Amino acid sequence: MEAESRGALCSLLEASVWEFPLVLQKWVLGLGGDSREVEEAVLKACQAWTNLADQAMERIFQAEGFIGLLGASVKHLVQCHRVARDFMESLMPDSGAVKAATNGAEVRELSEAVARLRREVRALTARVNLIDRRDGAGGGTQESAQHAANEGA
Amino acid sequence: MVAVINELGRYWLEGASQAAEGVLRTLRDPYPIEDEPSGATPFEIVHRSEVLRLRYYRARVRICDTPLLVVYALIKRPFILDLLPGRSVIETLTCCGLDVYMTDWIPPRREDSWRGFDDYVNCELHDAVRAVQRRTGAARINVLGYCFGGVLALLWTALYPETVRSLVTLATPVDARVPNSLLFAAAGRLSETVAPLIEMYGNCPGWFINACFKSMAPVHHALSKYVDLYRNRSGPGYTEMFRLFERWMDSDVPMTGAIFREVTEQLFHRNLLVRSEFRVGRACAKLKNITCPLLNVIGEYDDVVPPRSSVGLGQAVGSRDFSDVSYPAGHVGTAVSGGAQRKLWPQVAQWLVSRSQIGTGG
Repeated sequence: MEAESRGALCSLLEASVWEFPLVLQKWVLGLGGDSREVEEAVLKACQAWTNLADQAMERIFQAEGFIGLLGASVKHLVQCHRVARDFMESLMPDSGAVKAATNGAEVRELSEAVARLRREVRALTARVNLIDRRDGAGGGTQESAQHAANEGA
Repeated sequence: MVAVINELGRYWLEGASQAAEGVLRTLRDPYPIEDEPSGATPFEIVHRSEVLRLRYYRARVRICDTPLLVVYALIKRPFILDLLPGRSVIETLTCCGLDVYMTDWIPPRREDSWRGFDDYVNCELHDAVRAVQRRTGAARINVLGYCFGGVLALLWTALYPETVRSLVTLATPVDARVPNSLLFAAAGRLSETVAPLIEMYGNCPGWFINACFKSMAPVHHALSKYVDLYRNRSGPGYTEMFRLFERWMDSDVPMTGAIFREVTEQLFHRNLLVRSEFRVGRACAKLKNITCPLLNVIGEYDDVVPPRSSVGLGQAVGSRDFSDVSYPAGHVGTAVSGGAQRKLWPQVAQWLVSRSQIGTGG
């Protein structure tokens, strides 16, 4: 790891401090270097820099506590998002009232009941499918319970 | 030199705007799936539910009567498996004589947040497999799972072994105890963060998944890939391939809250899959129940699912006919590289054909 980092650092220094200025000077003074050589030197320096940066990131990823920091950052991000959302909603008090008036408590309750029942049907379907399998009845001809229910409806 | 700076700047701006479009797509509900690349192979939809469309790709000249079901992951959109002519797993498999079906998971909406492995495996995958069986008359089918789709394929085969003739897993995470893997380590620790995330968004947002993947190689995504594009811009098809690939990189879809909770807890935090203690609803997926022929394809340079996470599969399952195939590419290169289409996928197709009884219909 250390040898790799040293190699990447040497490549960067060589490409950016030595090769690139030299090629650039030659091109500027018209001493034989063409613009493609300069371009190649720029790309080489760029590649050397990204190699070094990749290795630096690798070190950071492996640092003790980095994963914890990542987890905590996500938590804080979510908290900030929630605060921002609540704040925005508090600035628009009418939108909630309009929604409530349009939908009505009964419709909301019914929608929730429908959603709950759909979940229950799916859970039961999953159970039926598992039982079918255990009974050895899952040989390609069985319809799922939900399909059967849908067709029945 | 000015041209380099100009071009790199242009590539970078295009990339940034494409990434921003990707983030905007993840914020839309429902996620837009209509404006996706059409793919290299024609298909028809043969089964549809609220969260699944089952695609059918007809074999060019069918030489294998056992159909293949490709179980795609729940993370990004599936067009990576059918990207361009010559860069398409689906195209290669159909050219090799296989009838291919593929799960195209419809990105979940907020009201789908309750759907967990029980629903995805015991209902959705169940209906997909039954649809294939009904259409083809085959009692047993071949199954191929890619990445997280490999986990679904393993769970399916462990729970319904009588429906699977042979199984192929590609870049599938099995053992989550892998040293030096940032993604696995972070995912294991995410279990503490899951509750507030789900409470806030309902599902795990696509932008969050995208940020997790991109933060694993920030320098590559910020700069290196554009330098590579500049260097290879005159290569045949490179630019088009690059743009399509980037489009796929930014195609992260939300993952249902329940799946996200179960996968972080059961797979990454407690490592239950390899220990055969993974719960799918009321059932426990025991990998030893998998006794069919199994081919485990591993990307040698895979930095998303490290090879060490997949190699333990052979010991965990009950298959006698088991082989690991290691291919010198990364997580995506194993699927889309031109070399993989020439060497790896014909070999996989041949393996599937050799394990299927020709002419018996299953």
